[in-house]
Amino acid sequence: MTQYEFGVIDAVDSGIVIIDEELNIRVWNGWMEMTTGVNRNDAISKKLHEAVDIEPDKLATLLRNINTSIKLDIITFMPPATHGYLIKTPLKNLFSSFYKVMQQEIKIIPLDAASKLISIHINDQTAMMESQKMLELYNKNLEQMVKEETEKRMESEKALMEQSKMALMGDMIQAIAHQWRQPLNALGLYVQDIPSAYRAGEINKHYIDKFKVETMNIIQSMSRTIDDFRNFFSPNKSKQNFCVEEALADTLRIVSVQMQNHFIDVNFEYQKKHFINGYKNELEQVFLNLISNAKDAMLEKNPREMFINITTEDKDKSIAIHFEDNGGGIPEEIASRIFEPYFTTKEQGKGTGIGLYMSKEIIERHLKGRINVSNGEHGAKFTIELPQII
Amino acid sequence: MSKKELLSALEEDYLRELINVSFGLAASIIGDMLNTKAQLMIPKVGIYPIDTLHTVVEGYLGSDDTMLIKQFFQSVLNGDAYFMLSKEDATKLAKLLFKKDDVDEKEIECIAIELTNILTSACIGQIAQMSHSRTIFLPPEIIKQERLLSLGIEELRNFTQFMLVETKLNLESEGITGQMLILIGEGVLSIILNGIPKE
Repeated sequence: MTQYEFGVIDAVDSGIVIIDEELNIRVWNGWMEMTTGVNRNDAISKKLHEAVDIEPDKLATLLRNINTSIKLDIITFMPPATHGYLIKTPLKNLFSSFYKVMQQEIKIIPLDAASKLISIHINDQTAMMESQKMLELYNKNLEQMVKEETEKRMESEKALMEQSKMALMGDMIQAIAHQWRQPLNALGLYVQDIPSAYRAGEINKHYIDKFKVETMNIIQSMSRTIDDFRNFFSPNKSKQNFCVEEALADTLRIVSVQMQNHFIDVNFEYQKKHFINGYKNELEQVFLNLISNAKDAMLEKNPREMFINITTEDKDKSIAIHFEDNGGGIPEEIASRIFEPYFTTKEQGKGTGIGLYMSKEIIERHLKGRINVSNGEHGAKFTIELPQII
Repeated sequence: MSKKELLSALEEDYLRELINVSFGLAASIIGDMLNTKAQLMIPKVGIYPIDTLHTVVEGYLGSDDTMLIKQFFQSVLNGDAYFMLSKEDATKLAKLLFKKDDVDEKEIECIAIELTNILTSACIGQIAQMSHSRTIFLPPEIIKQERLLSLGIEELRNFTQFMLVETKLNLESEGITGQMLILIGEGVLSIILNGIPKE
């Protein structure tokens, strides 16, 4: 080795030890002297594990790697992530929360196949390992924080969903009341007719059979209404493929009498049936929200004719559902805010401001679709786009 | 698995033979290490377009049981090598190496890294030798599967193809299967195949 070569080896900021196959030290650079405290003259001619403290298992790994390096003529490694260190060097200057011993990256480089000389390069990796540990710790904390925040968000979404359902429940009870008023009146008339029929001597087998059939029809119709509402409020069990047009028809059945009582025409047109995958009653909840909002807007503006036009449109891979009313539309300055939680334009006590927010959440997060609003010719136009099953 | 092979039968034979030569020596080192007879089976070698990487890799990864070890190298081949090994197989090797039944996580990682270094260095070293170039290797590191699975267009822009080398290490008592992926750039394949003896 020339003087220049030795000068370079001596000056580098990492440990360089050249040994033979028997581990006898041939070169011991300045970094090794400073780091281990072992003088060059004392080290040379000693075996590596006699000059410095090397644990038996690490010595075995070193010997194995030396063998591989020589035979395959390749560089082998002892990375700090798996081995920690080769030479046990207590940390002096660097304060470390994790390590007491310097973490080292070891490279075992075959120098000369004939003389079987090996160069061992030792890099201090304590700071890097320390940063990695810190990063792992931060990541772990971050993961925990993300988990907690996600749980909180899910909880609050669940609460909002419940709140939204409760708000809808008020509308629904009104709808049930409307839906039942007429059949209850009819049932009352049938019952009231019994005494006068008795007095007139009309009660015979024919009368009783007719009474049974007609009152049972009314009762069955009332029972169907209950089933519709129960399905609507039952918790989601699992995702399913369902027909959007049928979900719309189910929703319209629930609100039909209420709409009739307010003289609102609901026109529903479609060319073909479309199927999507998701929770059917959640989508029905969105439909009900939009219809209910349209009704409220129209009742407030009170135009001469009130209508809601609902259409479905095939868009290749998706289906678009349009809801248009003639309630006058949404002022431009608030259009961008109507999907925000707790944002309402209704009078105090009438709106919760969560219906449209939940609708957007259901459409975008649960059904992977989108919902937007624009102003049509007569009023607001909501469009829902959902991926359809083809 | 959808993949498009880019090698003719002759080229595939040549590449397989080239890698097989390097594996011969690697097997004897592994045998020495484990103090048992070891034989690396003739590898299956294929070159595929880089855009099929995720499809091919997904076939091997996915479960937490697969360890993924990455080794970066620089030569005429400039690239990344990945070695895939099941944790079960790495545990078997660690038990043999450390001669005990109860091996810990660090010992399993240790053998996975040593095995990767031997196989990738042997294989890439042999290929690089054909182009008379020197290869510099960085230390292998165990990485999460997502790091390979999430490589996007930006990270893969320097690569046009990848080589998949599949081999089986037969030990006296065990059979260990591993797959090596080598991402390679434009023109590298022709440099490698340039060594095919002309008729």
